[in-house]
Amino acid sequence: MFDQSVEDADFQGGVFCKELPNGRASANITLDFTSIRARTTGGDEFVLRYGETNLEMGGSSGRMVFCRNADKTVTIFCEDKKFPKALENASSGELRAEIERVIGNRKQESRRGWGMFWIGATVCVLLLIGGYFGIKQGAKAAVHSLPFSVDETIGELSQSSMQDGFKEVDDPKVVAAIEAIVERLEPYSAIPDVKYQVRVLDSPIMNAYALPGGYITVFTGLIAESESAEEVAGVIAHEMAHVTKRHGLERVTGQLGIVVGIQVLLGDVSGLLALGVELGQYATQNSYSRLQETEADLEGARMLYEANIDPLSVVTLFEDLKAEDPLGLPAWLSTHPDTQGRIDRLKDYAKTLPVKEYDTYDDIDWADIKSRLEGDKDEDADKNEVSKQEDKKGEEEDLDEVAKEDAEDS
Amino acid sequence: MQHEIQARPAATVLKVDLEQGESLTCEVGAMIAMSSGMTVETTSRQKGGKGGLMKGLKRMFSGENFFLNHFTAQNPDQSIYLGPTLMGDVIYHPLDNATLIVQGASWLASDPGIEVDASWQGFGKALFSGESMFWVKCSGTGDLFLNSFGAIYEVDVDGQYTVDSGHIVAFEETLQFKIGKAGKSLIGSFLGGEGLVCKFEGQGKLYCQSHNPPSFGKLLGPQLRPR
Repeated sequence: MFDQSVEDADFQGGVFCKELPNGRASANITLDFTSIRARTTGGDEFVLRYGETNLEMGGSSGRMVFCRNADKTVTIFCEDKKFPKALENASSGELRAEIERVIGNRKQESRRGWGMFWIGATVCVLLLIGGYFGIKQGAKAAVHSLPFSVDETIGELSQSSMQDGFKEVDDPKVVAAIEAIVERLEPYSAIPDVKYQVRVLDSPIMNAYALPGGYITVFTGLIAESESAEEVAGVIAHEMAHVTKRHGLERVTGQLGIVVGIQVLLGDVSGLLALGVELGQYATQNSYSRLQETEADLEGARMLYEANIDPLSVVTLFEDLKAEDPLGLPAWLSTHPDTQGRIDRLKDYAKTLPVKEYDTYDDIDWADIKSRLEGDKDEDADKNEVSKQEDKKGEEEDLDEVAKEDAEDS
Repeated sequence: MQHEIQARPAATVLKVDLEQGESLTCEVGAMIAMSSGMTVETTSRQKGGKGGLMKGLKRMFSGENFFLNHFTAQNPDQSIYLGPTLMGDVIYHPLDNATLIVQGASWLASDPGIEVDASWQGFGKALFSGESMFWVKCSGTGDLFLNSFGAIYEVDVDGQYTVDSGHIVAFEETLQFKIGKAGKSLIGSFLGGEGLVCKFEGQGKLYCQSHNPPSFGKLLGPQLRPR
């Protein structure tokens, strides 16, 4: 009766003892009323009385139970999940406190491990996010320390590779008028010595845009719809502000991948240039951020005010247009969101400026410029008519020639 | 099955003599030479049909191969020579209904009765020790052969023992392994070149290798010419 196991199952485990060959052997473990018994595969038997047994939990899985005598000369170990409960039952609760202690320690260690894991994982995620935005923001800040020649290169390459299909207006008076508007504003630009390059494209689109470096394009549609040079000056001042505030370059950095961002931080701008040129080619379709638009509005208004031009001239232009056709927004406005808010902000800004008498572009005969553009169109239409008639005449002559040849052959 | 470990420890070769019908399960690519009366069966399962796709995948994660090679002697007095991938040592560890946790590529060959599986060691250990998340778990009864990079030395741990990461070959399942600092302060540990180390606790056998494959790779890599 004394040797009878109190638990139905035997447990597989092992024994550590210096008397064993190699100091260790696998064993079959049974539990009786008074002790833990381990019989090794070599036939040796080891007995630990419950009263003199100390418990520990460990091993590679952390779940292995080690039962040791007081002088630690014999250790019986078992990894079976049911072993702790069986041990508690067999010892009639004698080892309960010991089992609760080791299981409690294990749970505490496990919790600490998971705690460390979550702290580590959170730190890793934060470092990744921080690194990503750090590089992005760092690159954004770094572009402002780049020389303006980077903007000029992007602008020049973008303009030369742009395929917009519009004819450039070569009327010297029209081009000179736009150049005069720019020249008047130029001394007040935030970056001195920007070499503004102006071109006028023949298109009914009511738009204007600027590429980095000072490449400004005005469409004839804008000139045609405007009432005065001051209204166009308002649009051009806004576009010049995009150039001097380097919004084009900022927009490029917004699109930068991490690799190009790191390159910029290290001073290599080749990737930035390539991306800038690619984006610059679609300048008419891309829009700036709301913050950049507001900044350009206010900077443009400042330049106009400094140049003694009414900073609200552009507002008059668009309010007139909106009144005429409330739903048909011009192209320049459709790429510039929150129009009413911007108009209101401009008006608020103008109120903060000291009152003064504004000048006008007296040297530009705006009505003449507009009529010259209409004249160009008429001229083009006439030219087209003449060339069509010539083509028709040519075709008729060709047909006569063919008919003559046929007659000769027959 | 008889074995002989030759030319230790730098360029060790393991010779295993098999009687007719005896088999040996080996790491893919470990065979150097063999007698003509041997057949080889390549499968992801243990000899006898245990395991399969999942065990193969788990082995892959632990740094071992998806497949296992089972060599069987068809005639009497057959022998096979096996060698480790890296210049190093081979040791023999008999298992008696026990388990040995083996570092990624250190399992070389074993008795077909030994199950070669993978054991999860946790993210933390993998992240900080540079070891794999899965380790090879060899359990059962029979002969087991391990290889190393450099020489292998054996330690009977009773209490605590510290090993630098990358130098562990294998340890018995009775040992618990944690990641800790080499010195008292974390900065001092890193400045001393040891950084985080593997700390063993408990009672059991531990095998360490004299060289560390990642350190060797870092030393050699920059010297190699790009192709």
